[in-house]
Amino acid sequence: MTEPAKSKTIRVTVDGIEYTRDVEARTLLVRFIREALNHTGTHFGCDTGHCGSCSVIVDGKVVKSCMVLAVQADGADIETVEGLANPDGSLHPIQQAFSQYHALQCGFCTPGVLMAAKYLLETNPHPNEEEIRRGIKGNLCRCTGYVNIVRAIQSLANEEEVRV
Amino acid sequence: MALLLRELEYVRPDSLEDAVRLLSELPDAGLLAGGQSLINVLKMRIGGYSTLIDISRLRELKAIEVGEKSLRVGAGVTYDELMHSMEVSLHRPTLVDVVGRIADPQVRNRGTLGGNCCYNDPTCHLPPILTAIGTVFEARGSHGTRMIPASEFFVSYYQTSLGPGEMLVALHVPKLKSRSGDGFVPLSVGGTDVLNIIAGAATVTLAEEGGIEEVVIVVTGASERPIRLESVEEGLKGTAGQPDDADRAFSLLDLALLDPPDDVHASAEYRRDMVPVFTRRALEQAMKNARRGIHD
Ligand SMILES: Cc1cc2nc3c(=O)[nH]c(=O)nc-3n(C[C@H](O)[C@H](O)[C@H](O)COP(=O)(O)OP(=O)(O)OC[C@H]3O[C@@H](n4cnc5c(N)ncnc54)[C@H](O)[C@@H]3O)c2cc1C
Ligand code: FES
Ligand code: FES
Repeated sequence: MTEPAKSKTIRVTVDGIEYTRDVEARTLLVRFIREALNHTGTHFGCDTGHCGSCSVIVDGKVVKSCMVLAVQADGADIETVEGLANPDGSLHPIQQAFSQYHALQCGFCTPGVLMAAKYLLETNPHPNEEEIRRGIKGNLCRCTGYVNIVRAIQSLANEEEVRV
Repeated sequence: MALLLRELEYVRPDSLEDAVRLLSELPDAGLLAGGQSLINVLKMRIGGYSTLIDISRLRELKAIEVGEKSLRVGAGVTYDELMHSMEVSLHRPTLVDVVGRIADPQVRNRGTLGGNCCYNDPTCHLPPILTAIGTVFEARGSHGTRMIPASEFFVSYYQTSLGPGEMLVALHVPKLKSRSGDGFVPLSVGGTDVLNIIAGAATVTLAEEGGIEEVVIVVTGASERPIRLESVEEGLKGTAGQPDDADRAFSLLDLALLDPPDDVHASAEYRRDMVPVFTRRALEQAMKNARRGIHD
């Protein structure tokens, strides 16, 4: 696209499903995912790039979707928390670990933390505790105190073969 | 629920040439790089542009090239890409360390070197270290290309010497010389590298006998722009860089040079007092790194 425009038709794949939509240039990716596509699993917290609850993976890189315009994601492959579980409803290993280690309380931060954890394990399959803490530094949790989140991720990091 | 952004136009040119042309032709247009500062500026409606020119996918801004004396790093290289660059790890390892301290994986996956320098927030990580190591900024506008030394690039709070219609295309980073080392020590809120109150950066080159041959010490957050502590540098040159040499050199620090801001994070007085502390730590780190090189 080489002419400036107030809106644009974009094509994105979200959790394996392709969508083509007209979107205003000013629309944040998080709003597009939640409001245009109605995938409300991805949360919208601070709207300033600090809390990380809006984290999604865009073309293999975790980002805060309130800090990206939807038009910038044109052509991208986007993974959100809604794509983690299998179609039959069985949980992804990271979700299982979060359940087993009680790594969430109110759950507001969880969609973002799960995506940050997925990205961390994809880019560094055997992180130590410090690397885990650095990996989720962009995600704020007001409930758990992080200890159980770190334990849950650590339980996957210690496995020889991590399926992510 | 938050406000919508003000209505705006968006364009994603396919080439650097088109980006430069659009920037000079379109009224009130601005560049969108990683967006990790600009999107927040737009949300606050405190400024920003009516047209965004998205340069985040321009391949021409992504290259990292190794020259004889310096690295040419494209302005569009993200922090994450820089952290994984073998060339930078080899020739200026401190940059890999410094960008690895910025924010979090999400911000590092999008934020760019060019954006960090052009935003020039006084708390940003890159202006102090890039000034200390003598980076030269390559700018392009409709009139052609211009090279700007770091000492002239960072002008004041959120201001650079880029003119209207001009964009940063690359950073020329001198390769680390032998017997040299860099240091970077920020004083940040809560000690977590978030919101640097001040940041000290230094680079030194040691003589073969181990004394200080060349040294540059820079501080940000103590004035509107990165400042060099030249009197301290002069006091250190030719010395062995031992603690009493540093004591003597830092006693020459010209405090009148500093004009620190006073804000919720720190008083001006505290900032002024911390300048010698953090610049000295940066110097010590640089010395340590330089000596490590000697023993290699
Ligand atoms: C939660 C959070 C924490 C952060 N913490 C830190 C931190 O600890 N340290 C730190 O240094 N930064 C921090 N940042 C800021 C971050 O580093 C930004 O990425 C950076 O300030 C801007 O880079 P960008 O590529 O995102 O630029 P953008 O936001 O896209 O652009 C910033 C400005 O620079 C201009 N610009 C961009 N590229 C060019 C170019 N090539 N030529 C001319 N003008 C250009 C734009 O027009 C705009 O005015 C943080 C950001 C967030 C959201
Ligand atoms: S809503 Fe995006 S970081 Fe908080
Ligand atoms: S579980 Fe409540 S914010 Fe994290």
